[in-house]
Amino acid sequence: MTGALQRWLLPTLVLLALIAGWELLVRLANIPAYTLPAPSLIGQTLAANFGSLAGSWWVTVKITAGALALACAGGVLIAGAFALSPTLERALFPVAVVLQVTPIVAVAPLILIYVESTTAALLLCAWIVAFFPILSNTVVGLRAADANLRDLFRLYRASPWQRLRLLSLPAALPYFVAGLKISGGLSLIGAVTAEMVAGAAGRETGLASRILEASFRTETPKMFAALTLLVLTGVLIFALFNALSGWLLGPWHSSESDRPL
Amino acid sequence: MPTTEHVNEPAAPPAPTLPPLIDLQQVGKRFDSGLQALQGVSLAVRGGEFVTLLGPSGCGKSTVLRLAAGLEAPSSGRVSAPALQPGSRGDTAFVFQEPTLMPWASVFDNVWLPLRLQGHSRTQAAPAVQAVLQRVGLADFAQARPAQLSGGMKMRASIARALVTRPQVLLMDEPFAALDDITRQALNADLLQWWHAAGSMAALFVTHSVAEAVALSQRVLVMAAHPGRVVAELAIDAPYPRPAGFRHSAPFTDACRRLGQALAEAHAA
Repeated sequence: MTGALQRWLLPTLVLLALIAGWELLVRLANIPAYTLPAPSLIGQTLAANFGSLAGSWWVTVKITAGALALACAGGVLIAGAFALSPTLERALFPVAVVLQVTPIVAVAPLILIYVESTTAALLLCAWIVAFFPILSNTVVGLRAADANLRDLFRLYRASPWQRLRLLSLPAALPYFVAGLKISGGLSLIGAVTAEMVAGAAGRETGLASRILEASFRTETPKMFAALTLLVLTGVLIFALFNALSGWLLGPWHSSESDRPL
Repeated sequence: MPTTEHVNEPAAPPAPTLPPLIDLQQVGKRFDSGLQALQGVSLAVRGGEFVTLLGPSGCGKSTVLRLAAGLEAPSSGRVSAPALQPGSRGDTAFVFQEPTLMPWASVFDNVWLPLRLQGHSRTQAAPAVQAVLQRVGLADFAQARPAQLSGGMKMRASIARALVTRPQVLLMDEPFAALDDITRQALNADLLQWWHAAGSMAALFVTHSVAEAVALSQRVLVMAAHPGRVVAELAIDAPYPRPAGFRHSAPFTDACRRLGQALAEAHAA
């Protein structure tokens, strides 16, 4: 009972208290809606504009999911290639680091010039942000197999394929999942940032465009409504990958153990 | 030539006409770091023998095992062992100090591994895996993950994995060093049974416990460090299966005392 209380009830209460405090502050201090809208007004705006916002939300989700899927595929494949060839890793890892440390806001305008399709450009931006945690974590994970277990595979003359499938990949899984948890949030940030820079307008655009539009018109409640959807999406991604981590690693990995540190 | 002092005449090997399974002749091992791990080590283990390497940490005991498993190559001298034969698979088993189980796999899957690497499907391997799990007392834990087992049970699973291929050679690197003394003695007794039941399997066991060396083996090779070498050999004159009270008998205490002396002399030299 205390476990469930600490895990769910307490954070929910804190969150509700924050929202209630916000509502109270706006009402008591008579803050105008164009400066800070009350949560109730944000809720109403969200309901009133749900049709257009949901469409934009779907566009953002598609870019995020697409970038994350490409980041997984790219990160794992490149990590696999690095694991097979240390020379390749030494040659290419600096490039990956350069991609990682360059602020995406600064490169996005260039990408938008070079890549004709806006969707492709947005995907590329979000991918650049999302792929590095998966790559670097998987590279470490593919080397994380216990040295004695590796000796055992040598003793029994395992083929490289057997070693990869039965030893390296399972041993790398916790590291990959840790990277995935980081990249999930980053791909959403990448997708929104890139769209902000692109400043695209029109029907097939994401939540970032709705926020920009609303900001030009000083429709602050609508900005908050779109922002709320983004936050909920981020939380959803986080929850999804936490559940995935529990499902994949729960039975055996200490990162999913309930024991206190 | 190392000064191999024969404290006692070695017991007659069971099949003197057979060539040794593991044969090290004047083996030296120098690591890339410049450390001379072994120098002039000669030893032979025949099928059906239980031989123990006894010595302090850093005397190269583990290196001898790794040479016999083909996991290291000697810098000088000659090593012959089944693991070094081309095409050899599963005739040498290695038990490490840690249980070294795959944490993501069930006990069954861990024990299946050596057969799986030889291409046996789960169904093909199941009778052998279940039989060996039964023998080590883990039949009810086939589906458990290693994290759910106690230290002694993990080591039982590790030994089951070693035995599942019916190896000719069983190499063990301080497998019980991390266990409490009660569990350790129980596993010592069980290990002797499993080794005895395997018939002509050669066992080469590494320990730094004098009592364990005496309890288990027919021959004990005492090693010294810097550089690692064999300095004495002692035969334990007690037939298998060892009687229940062997640990409290005069021959046991006597052998422990003589081994302790040999270790002290090796250390003083």
